[in-house]
Amino acid sequence: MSARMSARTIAPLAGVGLGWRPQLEGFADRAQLGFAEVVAESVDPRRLPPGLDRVRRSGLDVVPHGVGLSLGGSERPDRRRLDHLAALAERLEAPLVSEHIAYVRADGQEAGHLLPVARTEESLEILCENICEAQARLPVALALEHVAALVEWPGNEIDEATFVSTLVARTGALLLLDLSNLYANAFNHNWDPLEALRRFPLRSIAYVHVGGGVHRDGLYHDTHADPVVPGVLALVEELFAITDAPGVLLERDGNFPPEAELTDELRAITAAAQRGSARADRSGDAPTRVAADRAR
Amino acid sequence: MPADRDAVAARQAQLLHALLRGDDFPEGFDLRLASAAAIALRRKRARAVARGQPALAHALGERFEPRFLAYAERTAPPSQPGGLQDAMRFVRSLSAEIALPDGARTELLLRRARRPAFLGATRLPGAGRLLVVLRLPLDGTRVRAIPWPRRWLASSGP
Repeated sequence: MSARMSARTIAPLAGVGLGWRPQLEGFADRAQLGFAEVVAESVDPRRLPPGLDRVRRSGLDVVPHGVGLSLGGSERPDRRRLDHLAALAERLEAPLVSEHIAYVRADGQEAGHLLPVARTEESLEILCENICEAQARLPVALALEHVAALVEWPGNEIDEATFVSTLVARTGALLLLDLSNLYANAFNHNWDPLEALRRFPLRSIAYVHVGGGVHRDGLYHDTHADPVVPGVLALVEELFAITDAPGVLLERDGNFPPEAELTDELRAITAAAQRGSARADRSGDAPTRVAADRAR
Repeated sequence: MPADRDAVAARQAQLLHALLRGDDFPEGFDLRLASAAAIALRRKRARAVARGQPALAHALGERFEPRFLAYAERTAPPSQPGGLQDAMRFVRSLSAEIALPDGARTELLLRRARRPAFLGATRLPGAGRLLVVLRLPLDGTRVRAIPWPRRWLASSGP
C-alpha cells in the first residue's frame, strides 16, 4: 500500500493540541483542543483506552506518535513495529503518523531515549532507506521529528537545518517541527535558533511540538516535565510570523500540574501563534513569507 | 559509497553503552556535554520508574531521586531502562537501608503480577501479613493476605 501522500492531500492539523496521556484523561475531555497525539507504543489498537476513544469520537484527529522504530539506527525497521503503527493509524483514522530522526537501541540494549544520529551522508543514506521501507508499509503519510540532544557526534558534516531539509527532500516525508528541540540544541550547541528555523523545511510541516524544560547548570534540558520556557514561546511567535504553520501540540509527560496551569500553557501557545500571525499580516511580508501549500 | 551499517551499529552501540553504563565515550565527544547527557538519562530512568511505581515514589519522597541516581550510577541498566526490572532492582538495592511501606510493596508485587501466569509474594510488615498473588491463564488473579509472624516479617528483602 503506497503511503506517499503529499502534504497537499491532507487537511491540516489546526489549533492547539495535546499529547494524550492517561494522567491527562479528564483534562483532554474538558480542554478545547484542536487535535491530539498519542505515543503509539503505549496503546493497543484493539483495546483503546476509553479516554482516548472518547477524544477520537468527539471528532478530534489523533496522531500516532512512534518512539520505537529507531529509523536512524543501523537495523532495518522492525516489521511488527511498523504493523502496529499502521494498525493504530487505521484504528484512529489518523491523517498521518510521526516518528523520530534518532536511534533508540543498539547491541540489544534499549536506550530508553531518543539518541542523535551523526549528521553525515552515511546517516542520510541509512535514514532514507529505513524511512522508505517504513513509508511503504504505512497507510498514511509519515512526519519526522528532529530530536534534542546534549551530545553531538564528532565529525558532523552539516548543520541540523540542512540535515533535516535534505532528509525531507529525499524521502518526501513531512516535518514534525519541534520548537523545544530546536531551542534546546541551539542553546546547548551555540547556534542562532531563528536563523536556523528559516532553513528548516517549513513548507513540509505537518504539525508543531512544544514541550517544557528547564535550565540547569548552564544547559537546557528538554524534560517535558516542566513549563514551556519563554524562549520556546518566542519561537512559536516567530514561526507564525514567517509561515502559515499548522497546529501546535503541547507535550507533557510527567510532573503533571493542576489543570488550570495546563490551560494557561495552551492559551500562551495560542497567544504566541496569534501574535506571530498578526505581525505577518501587519508587515504585509508576503514575498519573504513561506507560502503554505498545504491542502488548499 | 554505500553506507556501512555494521560500522554505524558499532559506533552507535559505543555511544549508547557510554551513556548508560559509564563506558568510555568514543573519541571526539565533548566530555562535559557527554556526562551531562548520562546524568540526564539516569534522571529520565528515575522519572519512568516513579511513574510506574507512584506509591514507591511517594514513600521515598525527596529521597527518591538521589537514591535512584546513586543506584543507576553503580548498576548497569536492564535491557529496558525505566521499566519493571529497573524498579525491582532499585527496590532490592534499597531494602537493606530503607523500610518500604506496605503500599509500595503491594504496588510492586501487583505490577510484577501483570503476566499471563504468575506466583509471587511480598512481606507486609505494617499489616503483619504475607501478601500472595496467584495469576493463572483464564483464571484471573487471586490475592491472599496471610497473617504472618512479625518476627519473620522484620527481616530485610522484598
